[in-house]
Amino acid sequence: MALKTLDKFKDALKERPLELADSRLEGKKVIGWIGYYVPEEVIHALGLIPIRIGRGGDDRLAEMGSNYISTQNCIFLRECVGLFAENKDPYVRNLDAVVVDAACLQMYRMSSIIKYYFQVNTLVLGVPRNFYLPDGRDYFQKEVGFLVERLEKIAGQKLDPEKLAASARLYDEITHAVRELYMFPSLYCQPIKWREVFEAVQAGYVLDKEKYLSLLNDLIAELKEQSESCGGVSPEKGVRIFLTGSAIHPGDTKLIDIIEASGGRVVCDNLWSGLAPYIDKKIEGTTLNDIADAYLGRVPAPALPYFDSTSDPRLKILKHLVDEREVNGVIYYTLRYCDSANFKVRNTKNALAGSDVPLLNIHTEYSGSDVGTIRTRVEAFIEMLSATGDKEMRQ
Amino acid sequence: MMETCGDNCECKTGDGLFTYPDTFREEFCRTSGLKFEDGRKVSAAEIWRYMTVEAPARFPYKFVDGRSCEVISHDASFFSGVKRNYLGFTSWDRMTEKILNGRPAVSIQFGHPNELYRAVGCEPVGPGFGRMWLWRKVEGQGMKESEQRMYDLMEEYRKSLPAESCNLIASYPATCNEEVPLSFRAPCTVMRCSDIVYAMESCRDDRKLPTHIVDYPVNHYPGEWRIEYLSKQLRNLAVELGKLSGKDVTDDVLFAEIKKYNRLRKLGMECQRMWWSAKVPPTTSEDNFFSGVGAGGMGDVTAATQLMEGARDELTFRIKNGIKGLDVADNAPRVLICGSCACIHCSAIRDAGGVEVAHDDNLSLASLRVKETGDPYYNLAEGLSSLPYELPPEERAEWTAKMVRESRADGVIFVYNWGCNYQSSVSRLVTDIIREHTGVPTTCIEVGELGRMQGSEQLRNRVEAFMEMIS
Repeated sequence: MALKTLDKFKDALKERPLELADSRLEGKKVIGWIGYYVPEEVIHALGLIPIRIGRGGDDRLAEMGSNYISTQNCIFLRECVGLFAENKDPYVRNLDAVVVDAACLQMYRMSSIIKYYFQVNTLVLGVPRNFYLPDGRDYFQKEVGFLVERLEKIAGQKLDPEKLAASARLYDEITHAVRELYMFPSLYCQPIKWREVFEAVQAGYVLDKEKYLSLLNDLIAELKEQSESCGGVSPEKGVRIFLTGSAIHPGDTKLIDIIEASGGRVVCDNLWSGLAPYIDKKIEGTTLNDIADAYLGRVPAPALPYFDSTSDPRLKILKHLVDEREVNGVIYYTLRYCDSANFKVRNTKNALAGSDVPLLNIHTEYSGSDVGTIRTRVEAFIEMLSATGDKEMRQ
Repeated sequence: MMETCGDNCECKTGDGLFTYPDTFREEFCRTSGLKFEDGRKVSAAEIWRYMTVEAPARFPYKFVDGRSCEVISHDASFFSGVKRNYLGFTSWDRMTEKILNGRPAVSIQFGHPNELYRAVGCEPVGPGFGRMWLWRKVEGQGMKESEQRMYDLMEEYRKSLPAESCNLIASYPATCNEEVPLSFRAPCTVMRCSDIVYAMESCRDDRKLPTHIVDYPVNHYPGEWRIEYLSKQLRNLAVELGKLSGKDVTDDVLFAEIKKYNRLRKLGMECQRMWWSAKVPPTTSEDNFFSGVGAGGMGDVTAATQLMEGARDELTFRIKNGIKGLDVADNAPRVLICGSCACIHCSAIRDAGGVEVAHDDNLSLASLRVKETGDPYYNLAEGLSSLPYELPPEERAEWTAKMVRESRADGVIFVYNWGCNYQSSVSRLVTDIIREHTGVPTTCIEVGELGRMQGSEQLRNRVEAFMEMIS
């Protein structure tokens, strides 16, 4: 059954570029951001319009970006550079500045490239590698404070604590709504596909935040209604797949298309472009430091290394979600030269080795040349999982 | 001092290996030897004997006429070059002796100054230490055998990492081999490389070793907090390493070490600038080691300082008398190398008629001057934060452009390893800025297996094409 609210999301997305252009004519500033640790609340509280930039899946743009950043770099970032090089993306065209967090060092490098070649005002936010230590936390608080100083100059106003508290509350509501929304694809009746949830969340990164929250709440209400009518019974079975690894960005649908065409059903993810930013975010107060602590205290981005396998927060959450969402298999998606995710395949595989949940690593980029290979591997994986499931049922 | 040995010099042994001509022996033996940190000494005669008897037997691949990174300069008339090769050849033995006698080996990142580690009684070793340790178990090999063995080790250990890991980091898992006497992992994250900490993370369960990362802020200024943050971490690192070595490092001890390294770095840059100022290149590219030795100290800062003092005297003589390095072409195009931890062997530039003026990585570290009063950890952090190589790319490029002008380079080659995304990402940006600031032609070259045997023909083709362009 089609979800009416999803159409509203699509309509809002269509209107958004024009809204942004109009807002700029009225003197409002648009701040693009990219990364995992950029505290969007701060941008919002300063009366600036936050827009997360970046798209995936377009080999042509990646090639264009490769004229500026080496082909030994992550394909997503090459496409990001391509977006600036081409300068046709409606969001990129409407930016007054871009905030880049330095958790991913290739992303940090990208900030220099777009600054130099395309004269983009870039603001780098330092992120500590020892994020689990008090010194790392202090450093990040100061980095966020410094980011605010620079944003205040763009906004032409000081950060008002009351406005910050209001923005924090708004974003907290969004966080809770996204968490709730993410439960639906894992219901056996699956009133909404993971792909649709993912697209709604991606839309939220460019939409007006109040409007986004309202749409999220409408969608959740609609889904609750539908879930009640299907009574939790699965209308169609499918192998339950969990996605992890490199980020998937709007436009990058190659793997999802293949999984769905092969009889797989994505039920959840812990991607930094997906559920990860929301899963354990908790702001303990409303000050700037509280917000900085909340961002740093979340499950870490893959770009940050962690050296103790017994307490690895990423693996803990992965295992928890795999268990909670009754996952049959994990697909570890890695983009070419996305080292932060590539280097973690081994440890993730080891972490799941003792469970009944196998892991398939799909390593790819945005060209279509490997569709056949990926399809063969995914089909074999899903067939194997189906066969295992049938055997268990027979027993 | 003698002049260069010239075209007719017979410097081949019966087995085809290069040897230093005996005509230089007598004068060489009259020069001073080297004194080491532990008080031991070696005379010039002992150095000559080592370099003409023991070294060719143990390391024949360094004495061939080949195109390997390992091959040494054939200019026996530049005595400091012979001594520098001696120091380099024997540094592994000295380091091994120290480690086997209980000095903890600490794995660090390239480009990090050594004084803190040494002050606290530890032996800093680079990311390739594991592979080198295993590789050095076999001696007496020719160039092809030795390089194939190095290559095989890299591929063996790459299996633990993604195929796309940089060729240098690919062999990092060798540090997990229990044979490798490593005590501690303490890399400075974010300096120059994005792969090393991921490699450490990937191998975290393969061998349990204490780990203490030093987080290096990517943006260094403005922001006093960034230096304080780094300073605290260095202090904590000293405490951790002190527990390992049993040495409680005081500020005075650390300052003493800082002073030694400052002196060496200053000498390194002084010699480098002398070389640049000469009308004709006073040494071969291989013997143009001044900023490199100044930056690293070759494992013994005392001996390295003494070596550099001698080199300064020799350079003064050569420059005054217009002596050119052996086989350096007349009006040789001058090339500055910049980029990642890879190298283009000097022979590729020499064979194309050029001469190498320096590597930006070495110049960056040799330029470091750590303040000698106040809080040594803060001073170290401040110094580290100002390393030109580690600055945001635009500033790094502007500094490199300054070095291009100062060294009177005719061209710049930005070289990076296959798989090195952190350095390769800015190769075009850095070279574009250099060209914009200096008007000097630039090129970017990716090398496989650190510019060793593998893929050397492609590398040479590109270097030759570039040299033809700038000649």
